Amino acid sequence: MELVYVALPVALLIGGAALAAFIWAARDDQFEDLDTPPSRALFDDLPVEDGGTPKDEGARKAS
Amino acid sequence: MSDASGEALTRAAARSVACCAHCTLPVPAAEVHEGDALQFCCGGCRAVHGALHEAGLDRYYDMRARSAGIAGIAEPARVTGRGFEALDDAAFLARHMRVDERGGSSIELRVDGIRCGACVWLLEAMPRVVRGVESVRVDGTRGIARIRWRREQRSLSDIARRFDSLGYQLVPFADPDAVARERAANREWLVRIGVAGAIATNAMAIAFALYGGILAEMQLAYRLFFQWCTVALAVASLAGPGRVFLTNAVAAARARTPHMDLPVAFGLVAAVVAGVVATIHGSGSIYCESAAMLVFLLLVGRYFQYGKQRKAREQVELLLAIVPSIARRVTRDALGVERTIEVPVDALVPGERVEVTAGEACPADGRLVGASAHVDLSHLTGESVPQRIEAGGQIFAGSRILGAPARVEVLVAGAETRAAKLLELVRDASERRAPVVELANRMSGWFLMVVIACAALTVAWWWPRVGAEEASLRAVAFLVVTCPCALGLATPLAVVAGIGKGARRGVLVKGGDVLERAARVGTLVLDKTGTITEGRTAVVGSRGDSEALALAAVLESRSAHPSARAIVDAFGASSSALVATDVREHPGLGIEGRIGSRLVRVGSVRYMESVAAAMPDLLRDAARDAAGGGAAPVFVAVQGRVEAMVAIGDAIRRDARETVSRLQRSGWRVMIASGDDPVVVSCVARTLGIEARDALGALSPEAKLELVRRADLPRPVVMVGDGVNDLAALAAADVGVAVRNGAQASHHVADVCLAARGIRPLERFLAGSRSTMRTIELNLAISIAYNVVGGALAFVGLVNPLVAAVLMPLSGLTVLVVALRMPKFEIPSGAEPAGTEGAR
Repeated sequence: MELVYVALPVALLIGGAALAAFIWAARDDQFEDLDTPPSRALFDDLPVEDGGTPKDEGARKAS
Repeated sequence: MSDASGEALTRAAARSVACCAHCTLPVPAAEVHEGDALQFCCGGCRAVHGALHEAGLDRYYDMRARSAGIAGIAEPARVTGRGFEALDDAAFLARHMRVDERGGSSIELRVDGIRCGACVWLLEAMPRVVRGVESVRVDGTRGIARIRWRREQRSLSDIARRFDSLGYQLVPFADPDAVARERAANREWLVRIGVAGAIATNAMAIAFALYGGILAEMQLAYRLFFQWCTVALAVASLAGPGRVFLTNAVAAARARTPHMDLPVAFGLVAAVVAGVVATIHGSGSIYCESAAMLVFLLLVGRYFQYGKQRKAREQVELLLAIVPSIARRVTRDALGVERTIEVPVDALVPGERVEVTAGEACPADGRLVGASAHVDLSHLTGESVPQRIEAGGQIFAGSRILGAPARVEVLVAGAETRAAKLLELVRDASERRAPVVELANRMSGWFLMVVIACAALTVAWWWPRVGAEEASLRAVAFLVVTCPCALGLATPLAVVAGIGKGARRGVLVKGGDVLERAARVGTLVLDKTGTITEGRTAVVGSRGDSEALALAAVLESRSAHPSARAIVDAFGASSSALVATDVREHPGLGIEGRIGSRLVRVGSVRYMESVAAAMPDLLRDAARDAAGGGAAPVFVAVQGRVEAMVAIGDAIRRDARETVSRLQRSGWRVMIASGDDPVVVSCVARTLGIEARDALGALSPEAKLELVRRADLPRPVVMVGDGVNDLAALAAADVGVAVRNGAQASHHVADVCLAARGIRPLERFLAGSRSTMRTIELNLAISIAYNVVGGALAFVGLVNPLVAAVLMPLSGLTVLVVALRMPKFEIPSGAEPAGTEGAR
C-alpha cells in the first residue's frame, strides 16, 4: 500500500506531461483552425503529376 | 445540404441547359454556347477555368469533388482585373509585412472567394506556379492567407493579380494587430481550460480512491495523503485557471454591482477552504474535487461565449469589406492624359473622381458622372433586382456597379459614408445587447453553497446521534452523490444536440443562449423581401384576353428581361407552336414583334401611349389596382388595341399566410418592417392577416433599430432580415435571423442563419428552440431530482460513499440520453402549441 506514495505522484507527473504537450500545441496555434487541416490531409495524396507540369521551374524546388 | 436548397437547385437546373464547368451553378440560357463541351455561367468562371488549365492546376476540380465545403455555398468566380498597386505602398507594407531572418517577407491578408477545401489546395499550390512565392498557408474557415514571398523576385501586387486571375481577391486587414490579439486571447483560453480539465479529472480520480478507501477502512495516513493531494489540486485549480472567477467577483464586489461570478466565487472558495480545514484537522470531509470540476465546466461554458464574441469581432472586420479598402483615383498626367492609380480609400478627398469597374463596389459616397449605370444594391439592401442610377444621381459606398465601368465624384469617404455609419450602428448595437446569463451559470454558485451547507448540517445532525465516524461517512456520501456533473452537463449537452439537429435541418444556430432566448413567445419582425415573398419577379395577376396573354408569352420568350421571363413562366405553356418574327426591343418601354399576321406589343403604359394603342377602361382600372397593390402593370396590345394587362411583382409565398396565422395563434406578434413603399407593405400585411399598425414600410436602418428596441413589444424580439440596412437591427434584436442569399454581412451579425428562404424554416427554428429549452429544463429537473433523492438517502445513511460514487455517473448518463434524443426541429402539425406547452 506504501506504493501509492510513489504511484500517485508519478501518475500526476504523467498527467502533467500530457498537459504540457497540450499547452505547447495550444501555444503553437494548432487549435486556431480546425476545419482546413482535415482537407489539407487530402492534398498530399495528389502530387503534381508530369501530365500537368507547371510552367514555372520553381515548382519542383518549392514542392 | 438541406432538402429545400437542393430542391431549389434542381428546379433552377431544369430551367437551364447545363451546369457551369467551374462553379457548378446552372448556366443561364443566354450564356449557353451550342456545341461546346464545357459551359460556363459567366465570363468570370470561363476566365478562371482557362487560367487554371494554363497553370496546370486542373486537379482543382478533382480536389473539389473530394473535399467537403467549408462555406458550402457555390457561387460564380469573380475576376476583377484590378491592379492591386496599393498593396505595394511602402506605408502599407511597413505596417502589415514582416521580414524574417532569411530575407523572406510574410504577410497576412484576407482572401475573398474561398468556398471549399479545393480552394485551399489551389491557393497553397501557388508556390508551384508563381516564382517568388515561397509558401501560402490558408485558414479556410476565417478566409486568411499567410503568404511568404521574396520581394526582390516579385511584388505583392503581382501576386495579388495572380490570385485575382483565379477568382480570389486579397484584401488587407483593417487592423492587423487585432488578429494577433484575438489569437493570443484564444490561446490563453485553451491553456486555461486544459489546465482546469487536467486538474479536475485527476482530482476526481483521487477522490474516487479516497471514497473507496474510507469504506474499506483505509488507514488514516493514506486517507490524509489522498485528501492532501485532492486539496492541493483544488487549490491549484482555483489559483490558476479559476482565478478569473475570483477577480471578476472581487471587481464586482468593489463596484458594488451584482455579478454572476459572485456566488460562483463564494461557493468555490467555501468548498476549498472547508476542504483545507477538514484536512488539517484530520477529520471531516472534503468537497474539493467537485470545486475543481466546476471550475473546468464553467470555463468551458465561458469559452464558448468567448468564441462567439470573437466571431462577432471578426465579423466587423468582414463588414468593413463591404466597402473596398482600395480606390482607383482618376488623375491627369502632365500631358493631360487621363490615368487611374490605386490609392487607399482613406486618401480620397471630396471632389476627386474615382473609377469603379464592373463587378466592383463603390469605395465612397458620391455622385455618378458621365453615363448612367446599373447598380446591384444586394449587399446593402438585400434587394436582388439591380437599380438604374442616372448620371448625377447619388451612389452609396458599397453598391456594386454592373455592366460598364462607372465614374464617381467623391462626396464623402471613409468614416463619413453611409455604410461606415451603418457599421458604427451595428457595433454599437452588438455591444449594448445585455449578455444573457445561462440558467446553469446562474444556478451553479448557489448550488455549491446549498450542498456545502447541507453537508455541514448532516455532520451536525448525526454527530451526537451516531458518532463522528458515521456522521462524516454520511456527509461524504452526501457530497459524492450530489456531484454537480449532471447539472453542469444538462445545458451544454442539450444545446449541442439542439444545434447539431438544427444544422442538419438547415437552421444554423450560433449559440446556446440564442435557443434559450427564442424559446419564449414574443415579437417576430419580418422583412418583406425573401421571407414573406418569393424575392423574385413573377406574375401576380392578370386581366383580359387569354389568347393575348399567350401571344405575349411567345413574344417575350425572345427577351431576357426579368419581366419577360415571368410572363413566359406564367403563360408560355400553351402556345409553344407559334413563333415571333421581326422582334424589336425598346429598352425601358417594351417589346414588339409579329406572330403570324398579327402585330403584338408588350410593355409599359408609356409604351402603349407612345404607339397610341387603344386602352379599354376596364384594363386601365385593373392596372391602377395592381399598382396600388405594389405590382407593376404590363400591357399587351394586339393589332393596336390593348387586350390584356399583366401585374408583375414579388409574389407572396404560398405557405406564408398559413404559417403567419399559426404563429399568431401560438401567441407571436408578427410585424413587417421593410424599406419598401408603405402601400406595398400594407397590401402584403392585409393578405397575411397582419394588423395595419404592425406593417411598417419605408423604414430607414435607424428606424428598424429603433423598432426592435421599442419597449412596448413583447420580448423576445426576433428580427428576420437579409440586407445591410437590417444589420443594426439584427444585432440589436434579442435574436437576429439571417436568410441565405442575403447580404453576406448579415450572416455574420445574425445569431441564426437559415439555409433556405421563406417563413417555414423560421418556424422550424422557433420550434427547435422551444424543444431544446424543454430538454434543458427536463435535464435540470432530472439532475436536481437525482441530487435531492440521493442526498436524502445519504443523509439517512442508506447510501455509503462507494455506492454513491458508482451511482454518480448514472445521473450524467441519464442527462446524456435525454439530450441526444429530445430536441426536435420539427414544425408541429395541426393546431399545436397548446399541446406541447402542456407536455413540460
